[in-house]
Amino acid sequence: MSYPIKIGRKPNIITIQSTEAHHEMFTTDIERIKQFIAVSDYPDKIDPYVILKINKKAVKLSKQEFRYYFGDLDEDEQIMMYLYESTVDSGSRRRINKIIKKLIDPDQPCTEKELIDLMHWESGNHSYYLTMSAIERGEII
Amino acid sequence: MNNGLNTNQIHENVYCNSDSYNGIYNKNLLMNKINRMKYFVETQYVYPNIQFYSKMLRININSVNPISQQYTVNGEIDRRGFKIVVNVQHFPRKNFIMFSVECNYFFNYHSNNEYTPGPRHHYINNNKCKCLLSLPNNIYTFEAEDVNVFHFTFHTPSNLTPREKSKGAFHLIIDSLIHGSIIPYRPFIVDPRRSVVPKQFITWDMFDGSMNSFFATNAGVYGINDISSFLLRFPQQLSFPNTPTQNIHYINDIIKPLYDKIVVDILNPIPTIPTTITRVPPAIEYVRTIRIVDCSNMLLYGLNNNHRDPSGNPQPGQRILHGGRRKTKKRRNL
Repeated sequence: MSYPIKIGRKPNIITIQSTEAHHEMFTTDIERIKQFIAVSDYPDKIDPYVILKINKKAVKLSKQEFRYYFGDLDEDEQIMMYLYESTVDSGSRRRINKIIKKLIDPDQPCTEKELIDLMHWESGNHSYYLTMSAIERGEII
Repeated sequence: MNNGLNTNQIHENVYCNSDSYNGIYNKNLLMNKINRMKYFVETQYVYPNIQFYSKMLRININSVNPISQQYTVNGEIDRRGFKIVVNVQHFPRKNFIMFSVECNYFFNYHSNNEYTPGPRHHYINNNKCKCLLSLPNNIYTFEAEDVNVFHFTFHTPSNLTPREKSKGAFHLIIDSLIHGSIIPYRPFIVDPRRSVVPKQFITWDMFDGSMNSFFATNAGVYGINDISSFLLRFPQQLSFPNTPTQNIHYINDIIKPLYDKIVVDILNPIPTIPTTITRVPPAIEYVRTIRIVDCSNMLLYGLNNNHRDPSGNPQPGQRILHGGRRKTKKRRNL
């Protein structure tokens, strides 16, 4: 569990280990959030304090509770979170970035499959955070 | 003018209906009603029937030993820890609402490929999974996440292509009955036979019989996976016990009542809008040897009564459904 994750287009600026990635995604450290935003593709589109607000909730909620909470956010806040998570996520960032670009652009249609992919990716990130936290606490599946 | 994207008249009928929903779609009204329906679906159709879903999807509810029965499907060993949830998701910028019943579960998987537990997604049996644990003897524990059991989607207005909309902008997809790459679906269709206002959506049973050659087919046409024709082609067990004395049929007891509830409680009350905005076209019967009548012509013929004879009946030799008619019958050049 130790392959490096490269963040942003400049691979050496921030490197984290995969075991930490889910924690970083939902970190409540404002300085760390700002660091990630600085190397993202859309630094001017993400408000770190919005991410902080969402993350503070996320770490307290179950997967389903978080989905409901996330679903009730303003769409602008949702998109900021998508952008932030795509910066931290290593797995499917290129594919997800493509969908997020379409989501931002009013002239670009998104297919149903793409939107379902996006929502499952996002809730999957939070689910993974919860699962790995449970494993680290010694709770066996 | 035919855009060449739709492969047959049924595609064109569904697309044309879908496109007309641009005047029906009201995201606030839809979201309010769908959110209200969510609790009802959870308490009436999902949680009380969890034993049924467990047996149908072949996933054990328990997540720890001892397990009375183990399910192994397509190499997924000991499918367990079954959880089922109802989810509503909304993308306002894209006018997309999804109302879904989803499940999560764990399984073991034997593979000579090396998986590293981590956030990366893998696809096993077309389901998105994450590797959680690496066990001895090349066994890995995966979590299958947010696997759709079935879902309803509502996405208009949009500039999706006719091909995208040929499945219907409002539709049901029954993911759990997938056969190979074919996933059965059923569009929500405004009944083209009613010339009165308000327009009404077709309920589940109205699809059978007269609708088959307009919006569904059992003719084995490529790309048309309506549930009734799908089940004729790929029959499968749909009835499973929920309690020792109660059997539940997936379509008759779950899918059909939910589909009809959406029609009656959500969609039919919506079209209280001017008919100048919502022009629901007459559907044209699909005949394999006859050229496609495209959406613009369907609208034109359906709204232009001058194409009828003096008594108001269609001309001889023309097929008609709700006042619409086909102008020409030509053999398609292949």
